Amino acid sequence: MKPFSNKALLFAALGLAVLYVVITVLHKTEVLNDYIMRIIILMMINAILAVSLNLINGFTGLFSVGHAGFMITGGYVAGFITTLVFKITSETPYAAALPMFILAILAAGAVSGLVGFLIGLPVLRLSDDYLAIVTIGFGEIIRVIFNFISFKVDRGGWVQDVGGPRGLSGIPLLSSFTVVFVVFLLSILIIRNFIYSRHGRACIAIRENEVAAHLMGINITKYKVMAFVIGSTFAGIAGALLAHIIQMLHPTMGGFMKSVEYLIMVYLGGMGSISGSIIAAFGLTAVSEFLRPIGELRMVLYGVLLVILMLKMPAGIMGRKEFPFLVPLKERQKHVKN
Amino acid sequence: METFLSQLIFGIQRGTVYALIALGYTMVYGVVRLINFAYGEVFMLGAFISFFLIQMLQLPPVLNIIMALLVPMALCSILGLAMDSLAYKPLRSKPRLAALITAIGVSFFLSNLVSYIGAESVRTVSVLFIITALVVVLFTLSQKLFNFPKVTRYGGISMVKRVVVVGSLGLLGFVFWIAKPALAELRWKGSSFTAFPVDKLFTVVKYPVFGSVYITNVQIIIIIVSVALMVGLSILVNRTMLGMAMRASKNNKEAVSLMGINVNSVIAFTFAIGTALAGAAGVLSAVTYPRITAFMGIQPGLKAFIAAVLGGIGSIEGAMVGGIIMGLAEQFAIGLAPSSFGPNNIDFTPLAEGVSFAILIIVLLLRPQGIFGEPPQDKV
Amino acid sequence: MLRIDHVTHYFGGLRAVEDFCIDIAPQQIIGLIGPNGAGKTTIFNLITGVYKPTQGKISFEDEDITGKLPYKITQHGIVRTFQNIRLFSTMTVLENIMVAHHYRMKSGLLSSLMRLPSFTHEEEDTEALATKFAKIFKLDDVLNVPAGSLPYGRQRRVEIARALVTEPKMLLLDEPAAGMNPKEALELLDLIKQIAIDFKLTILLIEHQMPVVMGVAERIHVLDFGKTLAVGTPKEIQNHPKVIEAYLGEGAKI
Repeated sequence: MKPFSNKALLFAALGLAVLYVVITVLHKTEVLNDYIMRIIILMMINAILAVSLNLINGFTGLFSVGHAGFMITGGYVAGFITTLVFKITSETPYAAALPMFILAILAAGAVSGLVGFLIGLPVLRLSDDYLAIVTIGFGEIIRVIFNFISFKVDRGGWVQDVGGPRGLSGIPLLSSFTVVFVVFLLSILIIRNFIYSRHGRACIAIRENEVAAHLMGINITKYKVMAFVIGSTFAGIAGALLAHIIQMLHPTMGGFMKSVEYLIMVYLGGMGSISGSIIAAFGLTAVSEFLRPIGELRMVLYGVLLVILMLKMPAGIMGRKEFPFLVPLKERQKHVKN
Repeated sequence: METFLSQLIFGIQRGTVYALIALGYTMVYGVVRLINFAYGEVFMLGAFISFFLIQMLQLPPVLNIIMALLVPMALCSILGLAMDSLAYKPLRSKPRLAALITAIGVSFFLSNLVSYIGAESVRTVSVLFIITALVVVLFTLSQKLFNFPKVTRYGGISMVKRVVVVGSLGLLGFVFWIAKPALAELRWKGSSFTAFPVDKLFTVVKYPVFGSVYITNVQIIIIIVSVALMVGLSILVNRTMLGMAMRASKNNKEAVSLMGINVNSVIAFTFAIGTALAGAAGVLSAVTYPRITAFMGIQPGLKAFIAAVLGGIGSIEGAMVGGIIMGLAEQFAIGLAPSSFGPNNIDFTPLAEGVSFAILIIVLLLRPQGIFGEPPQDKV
Repeated sequence: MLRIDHVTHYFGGLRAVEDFCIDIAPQQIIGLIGPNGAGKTTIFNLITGVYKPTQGKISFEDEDITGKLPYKITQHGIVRTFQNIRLFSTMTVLENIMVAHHYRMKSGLLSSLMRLPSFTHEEEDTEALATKFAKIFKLDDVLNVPAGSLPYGRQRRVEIARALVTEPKMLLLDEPAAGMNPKEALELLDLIKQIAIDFKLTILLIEHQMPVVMGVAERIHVLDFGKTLAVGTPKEIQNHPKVIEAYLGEGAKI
């Protein structure tokens, strides 16, 4: 790796480090209270979801409307591991719980990725419209499955029914700002590295002209599945983080409605833009907190937003542009020349 | 045997409802290659409009029934025209993805709107509609009088369209405003389940069929109405000029327009019919399962689409057959799923919901074109 | 090198290609002509695996490639260009060409994600290779321009450059001179001749502009309604009565 040949990246890295320190300090001194920290964490989680969905929909040109299903699969897996397997409670010291949490996150990603693979393989040959329906259906199936799975847990003295229609509750609060920040940065970095490589180029080629890509020697099914699996893996990771900040999960959270919210973030931000997804995710999360008082009306506005977006600004906010520090040095130099 | 028969009856009933919605999907897809995700919501609106009409207008029984069916159908039809002209038509030249996303947006909008409207909030919605209408009016006026703001990329929205939008928004806003006391009296809350007043339409009479299996007059009427609608549609598509235009548009829109037929009108008409059927399906479904809620349309919408795919998307016979098969399959799965299984007494009935999706996967894997469809061919 | 044995292909009830045979030796340049709808592009599609022939066998370098998946056939060494240009419009010219080198690159997922030195080197090498090909086709001034914004003629060149980067043994050109004026077409003709020599390519060419085909092909197959009308050298074909009839109708004379 040549980390220091890229000045902009260096500045960005420094900037992020500074940001991290500032936020942590502000939090410790109570300037930023817990409520705001929670929103910041949610923003980052949603950004991971938006960027991973963008990889599937925006860069590879597929049309998955079931991202929330992967998210919630990851969430449940992680939740089950921390509550049932490791039996972490609010009493457990954070230092001891952290490695188990990381394990849970990795497991969540792995399972979601596996599910993505199993679904993707047969289904990704289908055209847009069918894929949309199948992915919506997937979300519903997940909801049904998680509605169905329930365990009886021995809580020392009494037996509790966990899972099923009641959802999963009592998940320990393990998603700290640090953990989420690090996972967020890693996720963005990995996805960005994927995009700016021959694999990413193959995916974009598939989006642009699938037939031509196929005839230029690219195994299109392999790459569609690859993008889908990577996207679903990160959705699962985000789900694990989400479960451990809102501390509960319910099967309905993996449904169509939630998937559409992520879809909005992707299309609002711009279909081929990582930066756009991040901005849109941050923005939408913040806005929906603001709009919380008006409750359901918020969802109505989302619907209108989607329609108007498609009619007036289909390229989204950023279109295909990126923040400079995300684009590799060589690429950026090239664009500057022209 | 008895279980079989009773499941059969319920299955056919379910199936006909799916078939009606599937017809809407398949017709629109055939002509514009768009999956109108919002059909589920039209279905829901049909049920709700019917609900309101029954509660507000106390008509004598037979008239009540006719009104409860036909008025929602007509209104849903108009809604279909609105959806087409406002949301889908402007995107017809753009990539299909944009229209799909818009369809999702419309679906989202409608279901959440109905969910949001309750006795307390209806005036908020009313105000919002009226304000939006006023904004459009002001915008238009200032363009005409002061030539500001300049018409840039936003130009091209015809005067007629603006008037229609303003008019309907204003009208709806007005209706919502005055509806408040009525809603309060009904203790309305769209997000929770409301009970559809079947008893105001019929007194249920049971006819024994075999042993303890019976069929009610309601069920008979539902099946008859569905079949009548389907037959009507069939006649329309196969025996009339309009139907011929619709069938031709499926194959070659350019040729149709060269024949002097306004393709846009054909498409609009297709939407109108599709939504009318979906609305009818909503009413019929509400009569069968009287709990209605704002989000009741999502699942049936999805399943009806799967039924359309099963039958061959684009094919009208396919939608009918697919719908019935879907209804029967689901009903049998639910009926036969053991509700207590094994030492933990696991209830499998929720999994029966998954039957429709299992069907989808199987169809897409084995025969993606469906029963009546043609095998996909790629032109390079 | 490429051998097509009695291939017949039906689209439903429509017979697009009937009993087509061809035997192409290495480094030959063969032309395929015929009126529109004669089945020429269908043959290309059959060779490249887009369709699987209803009947018949296609072999390349003595290996049976009938009905294999397109990307595999490309990896065997056969690549094509398209009648209606199929570029990756929003990608730059350079990216278009680089992406065709995809399967010849070895960087795995891990080395890409971690930006290992092997990855960086390979990227640089590929970029150099793509630039070199772009120069051959006089595209080096538009390397960073979105491919879709170029004029038609240059887009065609991008397509050919892109195809060449797959390091093929055989090149199928589908109407490369379409839309070009005679002067451009002849320039292209020279270019084709040159790259055939430089890159030791075997070429099968579909073309409507007669000067191009006659000027570059050693042998020409003439198709009409899916059937082979005639096979021969350009001179033989020009005077062949059946060919004249197919193009100009009965009783016509050139």
